Amino acid sequence: MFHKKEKIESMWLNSAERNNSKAKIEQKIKKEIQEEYRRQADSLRKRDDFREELEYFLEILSLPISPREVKKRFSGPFVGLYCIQAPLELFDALGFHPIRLCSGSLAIQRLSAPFLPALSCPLIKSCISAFYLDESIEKLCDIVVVPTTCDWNTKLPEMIPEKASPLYIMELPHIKESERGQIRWLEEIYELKRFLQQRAGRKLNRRQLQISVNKYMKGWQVFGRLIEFRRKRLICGTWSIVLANAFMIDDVESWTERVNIVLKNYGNPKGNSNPGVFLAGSPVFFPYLKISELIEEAGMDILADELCTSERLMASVVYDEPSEYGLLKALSERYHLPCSCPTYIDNDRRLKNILNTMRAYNIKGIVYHLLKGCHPYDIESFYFEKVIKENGFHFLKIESDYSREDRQNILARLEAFRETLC
Amino acid sequence: MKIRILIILIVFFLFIFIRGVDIYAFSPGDDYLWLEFEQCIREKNGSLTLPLRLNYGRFPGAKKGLRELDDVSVFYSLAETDDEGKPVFYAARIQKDKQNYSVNINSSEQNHFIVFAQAKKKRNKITDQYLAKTSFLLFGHAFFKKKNTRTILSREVNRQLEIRTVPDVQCWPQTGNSVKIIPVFKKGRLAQKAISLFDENLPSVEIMTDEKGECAYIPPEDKRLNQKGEREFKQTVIVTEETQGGIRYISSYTLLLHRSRFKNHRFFMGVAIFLGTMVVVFLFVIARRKRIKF
Amino acid sequence: MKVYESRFLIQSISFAVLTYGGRLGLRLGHWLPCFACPYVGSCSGHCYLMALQRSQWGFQIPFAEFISVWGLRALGMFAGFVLLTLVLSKAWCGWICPFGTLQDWIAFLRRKLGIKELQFSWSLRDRLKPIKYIFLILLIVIPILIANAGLHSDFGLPFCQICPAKKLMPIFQGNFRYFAVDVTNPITVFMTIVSLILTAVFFVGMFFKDRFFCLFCPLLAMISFFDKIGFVRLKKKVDACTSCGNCQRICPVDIREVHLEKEKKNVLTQDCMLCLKCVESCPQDGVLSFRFLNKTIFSSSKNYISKCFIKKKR
Repeated sequence: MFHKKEKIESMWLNSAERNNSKAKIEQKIKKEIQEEYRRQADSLRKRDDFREELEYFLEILSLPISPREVKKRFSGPFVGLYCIQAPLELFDALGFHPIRLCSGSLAIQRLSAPFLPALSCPLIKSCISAFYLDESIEKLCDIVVVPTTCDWNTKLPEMIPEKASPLYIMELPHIKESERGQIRWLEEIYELKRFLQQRAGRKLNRRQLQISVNKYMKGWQVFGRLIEFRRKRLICGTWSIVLANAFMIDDVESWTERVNIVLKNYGNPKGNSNPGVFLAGSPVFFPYLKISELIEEAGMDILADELCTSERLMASVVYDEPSEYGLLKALSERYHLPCSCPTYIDNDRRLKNILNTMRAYNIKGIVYHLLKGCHPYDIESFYFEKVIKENGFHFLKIESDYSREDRQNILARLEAFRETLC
Repeated sequence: MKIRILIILIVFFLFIFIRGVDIYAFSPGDDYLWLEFEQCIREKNGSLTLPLRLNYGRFPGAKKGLRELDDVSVFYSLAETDDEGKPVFYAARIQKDKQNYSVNINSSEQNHFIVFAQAKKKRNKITDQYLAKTSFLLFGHAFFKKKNTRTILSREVNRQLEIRTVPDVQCWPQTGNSVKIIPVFKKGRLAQKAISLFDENLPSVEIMTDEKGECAYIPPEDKRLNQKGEREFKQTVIVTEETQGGIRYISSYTLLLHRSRFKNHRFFMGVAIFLGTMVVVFLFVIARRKRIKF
Repeated sequence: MKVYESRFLIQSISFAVLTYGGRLGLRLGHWLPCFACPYVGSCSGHCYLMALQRSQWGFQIPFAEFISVWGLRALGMFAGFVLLTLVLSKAWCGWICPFGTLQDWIAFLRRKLGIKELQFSWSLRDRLKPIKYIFLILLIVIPILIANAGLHSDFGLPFCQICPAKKLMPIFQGNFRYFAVDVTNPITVFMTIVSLILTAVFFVGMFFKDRFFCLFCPLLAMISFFDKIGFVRLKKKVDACTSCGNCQRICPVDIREVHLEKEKKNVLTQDCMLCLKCVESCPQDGVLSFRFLNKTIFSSSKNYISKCFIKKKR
């Protein structure tokens, strides 16, 4: 299943930088990555709407470049998660610290470029590359949990080098609103529970699980307030994406506390009348914030989004049955049913929800962000465009990757789009 | 031999004495008048009509015609009293159909009826004075009530010997429920009086009143009645007599009885079935749970 | 006050009133659309199902009597039932019915013990639906047969005879006598044994499953005939529903339609008891709303969930 180590080494040496030693290249790439993260953080710090309270989140988002910091900051064994379908509460209840493995780094991609198809999803490229680093959060993780959402995730086990942390695959049923889909996903959750129990060396305690669920519900509550702020233009789209991104790494309790502080002190209405847009499409993760920054630069406000790295992250868990089964069922449904990932087959509500939000907040246009190589979103975009336009809204599809070269081009298109919205 | 017979006789009399209340006997040839219930009729206007048949003879089988009797009349009271505290009696029209004499009692609302029938029969030296009585409730629900068509009885009421029951009326009279029988003769109770009970399905019984002039009667379980539906009824006719001043007073009271509602309940059997099933279902649920993965 | 708290309060009050109110002389009539069991001696009102099966106000009358005061009385009782049903619809089941309240209490016990609820597959749940209509048809047909076709009258009040409420509700009055087997005749033996077995099944069932009896309740079936013309509505804003499944999971009688509905606005289905748990658990503002005469009484919101489902302390 995995590549042989020797093969990887030889491929490595056959690459363009074969003359330099491996360590040296790594050092160079590491520096580039650090530079990339620092540059993005700095550009955020320089913004007018930067507040001291936000510094915490930039710190958290910079953690991937210093895994030792992660170990210091958070306790417990780490679990790396791909996508957003694995139930965080379950890990928390069994004493694991879950980290969503997601990356927006361009520089790091070079590490895995030789082993991946030319047109690969940039996010996957960056994530896999992290496994080739000596030190990364990916390597820190005791387990890596991969739900089989898109094809990239499904093929992930073959792309990850041998030495990586043990993978745990969750088979995601792509039909949600059927009994068999729901039961199969619940089976997966139970299987995961058994696996984690074995790893943790203890049984799941339902009271502990209730406490964890409550923790995350508090997070959901504050996240709801954050979204409200954003809809009212009290906080801009980029910052809310940053805050949401940080949730994927941070401990939920301190994240909740910090966001609460931000929301307490933030909240001076900007008083501008920029046209609002809806950001849809492929995930956006620090330091790849190009798209949201450019939309704002072009004079538009991202009032809402449906990114899996932002607004789609959280959903409520309401349960009435405090039995272990009741809790796990609630969790399984929370991570399955409301998720509107395009890899699902019965996803017709997603468009309705988007249209509903746009109508409710008087958003006239939608920016459909597409990462090159992100097939599910790409396929879907055509139908999306048709329906959105039929409903009298404006639609702009922007296809891009992590590179910085197309910034001017995109900005020009966004400015033109703004004109249509006014 | 004589001693043996004597002993047997003594034992026999002791037996009779001990079971004194249950002597199966009634002086033969004594006929009486009684009122017999028929099926109640629900009228279109919502009122109820209860046909009562007058019979003379011996209940249940030996019915003679009423032609031998003179002065047959039927009257009833609604348990109302006039200003002097005496009950008000209304006359009821007797419908004669060949041998059959019957009376229709109609009620538009909820009423407690006490119905009497009286008759005379003159013999050589003695006159038989018959009185038949019954008491019942009728729950009529007429929308359009007829005007009061009741006519107050004008003729003399002859109630020297009357059988009273306590309770005087029951909502749902049933077997197994004790009824006190009190024979009243000229406003006084009769102590140590033999009272005969003639039942539709069971052999007749004779019981004695005690010093207070009353006796308790528990209508026994009736298997034939039990086979019928819950709303079906049977009748028991209570008869007693008293002779005084050349007149023999013979009175009857018709007791309507449903089958017992609760006397045939087997509580522990029921609880055992209930608990047993509960355990089985409980184990079934647990067993099913064990088989399922989660 | 939160909805589930006020529901608990109203349920408890109506349980007390309907079970013991008779002692205070309260008489609410024989037309109540809830299981106020007439076998409870101290009850203050009667379940309409009993009136329906009787000869006095119901269908146990000969055909000829249908066009008479007796028929009118049956009709009048039915009209009273319909009127009460129109006003509160299924809220009778979820908020007033004492037998439903009893089931909620028993289920509460199970929750406290952390015992898993019984799960029915979707197909099994769908197959159970017609049973209440079978009960309903039988409880109308049997009395008609008794009055017209000479069926033995010990089959009278057929549903009351097998109804678990007849056994369980009088317990609150200290009366256990209906647990007995009636050995009067073979029919009564049969009926009482069937009813004891059913009561045991339902009693265990209502411990393991929320509102287990309600899945089979013929009165619920009758009430649901008037859902479309009643004053009460359960509305859904289908476009804003994110399909989170909270409503489906939390529903005591496993109604899927509220969750899966994508077109229709009215989501008051035949099994719904208007307990409003779905509205409480819906995290989308205004997606589900409970309306009375077109006036919104309660609608779903994020804030409500934050208030209700998040514990402040750890």
